[in-house]
Amino acid sequence: MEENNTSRFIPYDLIQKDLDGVISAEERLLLERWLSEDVENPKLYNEVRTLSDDLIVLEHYKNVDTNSQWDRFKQRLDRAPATDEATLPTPMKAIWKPWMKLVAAAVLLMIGLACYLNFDRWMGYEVQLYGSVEQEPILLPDSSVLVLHAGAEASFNKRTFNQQRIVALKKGKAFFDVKHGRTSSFVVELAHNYVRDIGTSFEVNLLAEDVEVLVKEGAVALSGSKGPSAKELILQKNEKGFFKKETASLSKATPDNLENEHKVAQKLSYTNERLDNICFDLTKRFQSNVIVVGDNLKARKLSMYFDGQSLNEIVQILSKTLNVKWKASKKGYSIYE
Amino acid sequence: MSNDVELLKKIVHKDRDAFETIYKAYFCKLYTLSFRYLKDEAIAEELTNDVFMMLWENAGKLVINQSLGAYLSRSVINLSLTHLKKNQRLKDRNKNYLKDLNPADDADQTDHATLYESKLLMIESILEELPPQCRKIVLMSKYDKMKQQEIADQLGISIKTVKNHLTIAYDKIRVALAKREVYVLFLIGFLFFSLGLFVQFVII
Repeated sequence: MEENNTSRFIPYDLIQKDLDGVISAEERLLLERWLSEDVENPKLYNEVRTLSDDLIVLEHYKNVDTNSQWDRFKQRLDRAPATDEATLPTPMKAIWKPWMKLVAAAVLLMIGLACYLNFDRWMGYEVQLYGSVEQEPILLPDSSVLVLHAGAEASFNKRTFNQQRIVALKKGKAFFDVKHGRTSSFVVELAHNYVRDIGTSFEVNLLAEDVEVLVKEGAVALSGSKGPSAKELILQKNEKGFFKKETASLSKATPDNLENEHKVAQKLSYTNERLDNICFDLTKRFQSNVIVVGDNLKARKLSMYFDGQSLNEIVQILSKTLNVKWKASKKGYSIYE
Repeated sequence: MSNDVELLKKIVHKDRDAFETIYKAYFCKLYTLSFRYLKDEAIAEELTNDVFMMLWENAGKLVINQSLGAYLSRSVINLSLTHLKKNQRLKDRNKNYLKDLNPADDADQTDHATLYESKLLMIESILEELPPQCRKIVLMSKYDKMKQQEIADQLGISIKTVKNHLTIAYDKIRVALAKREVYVLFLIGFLFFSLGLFVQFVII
């Protein structure tokens, strides 16, 4: 007996002799010993036995003459009593093929998933809110007040709002005056982060992909991402928080900065002026530092016109125009590459 | 397969040509399936023809909820198993098959006859790929029912060589069949994975 290319030794010759009924007593002992050596061996024995049977069946399969079988069967068919065709019920029930059931199951699965994902929208539980020029206050189910500025969009779930006070702000600027005395906190869900109310009224402004939060009363937490482990920046009354999506960074401006920032430019016009000169002028006018980092950046020239914008807005416009970054800190603003 | 539906409709109206087409398409594999259980040519032939006769006579009353191949396979298996139960001698000889199939499982969608036929064809192709001497020894052993010593004597080789050739042949067939099972499982897994991706894509 030789071991072949399989990892497990199988005594094929002994099995074959056993199946043929020509195994000697000594060989049977060897075979039985092999069978008892491992629990897998009886399975292998049956596998070889089935294979041996299949080889016999194969011989018969190859010798089947279907045409002569049909000729003989025809005679039997002729002897069968004729049935009145009119009495036969027709048509036959349509045959379901396995692939049809698979497709039907897939379609049902898709419909089920679509129903699950859109349940709240289709049942009218998801309330969509749109801001108007009038900025009318919207009373939420917990008596909190939401004011959406023109162009702003928000939504909340009527069904789950009492358990989870979540308002999704999709775009624009919104003011929230949160009703307290509830166990659950009030959360404004944003695209990449959230604002969690700690006890207060506040304003959220979505600027392209960045976020500005101004606290009017109390305090809020502005997060740097989503999820329970998100880093939060606590903002007190009159403080303004910033979230920049590009760097996922959080920063805040103090009341002093804000005071300056709330000032708006009258009419400022710069023609082919170096950036550092513009920033120097802005620093003087708003009494808040506007620093340019990098000599190349300082030397870049541009022509700009401002009318009524805040310092924060001016810095953003400058950054966008030059395609550079900016950040706000306690000391003021920095523009850098 | 879709053609089967049309042919069955014609058989309901006693269309002999349609019946002949079905008979010739399925007889060989159904007979082979029956022979697998019974190991008796005459009985396997008779039972297979009984199934076709039943189809011819009752086509209009049959409610087939699976493919025709699966339905006929199940009919042949049930008839063969019923026959085995009545015949103790055959039952003892084939008891290892009886435990594998449940005769009451009429909802089975598997076309056992076609599956078994493909297995036999695969074994045949593996046999053809064996070295000539090896293949010859297997055929002498299985088809001519020759003992290992008789084969050795006729071919003028040692009995050890005969054993080696049988081992090689069995091993090759076993490994190839196992690979086929893995391939089928992989294919099924891949289909379900694709379906999952497709569903996700449609939803998103």
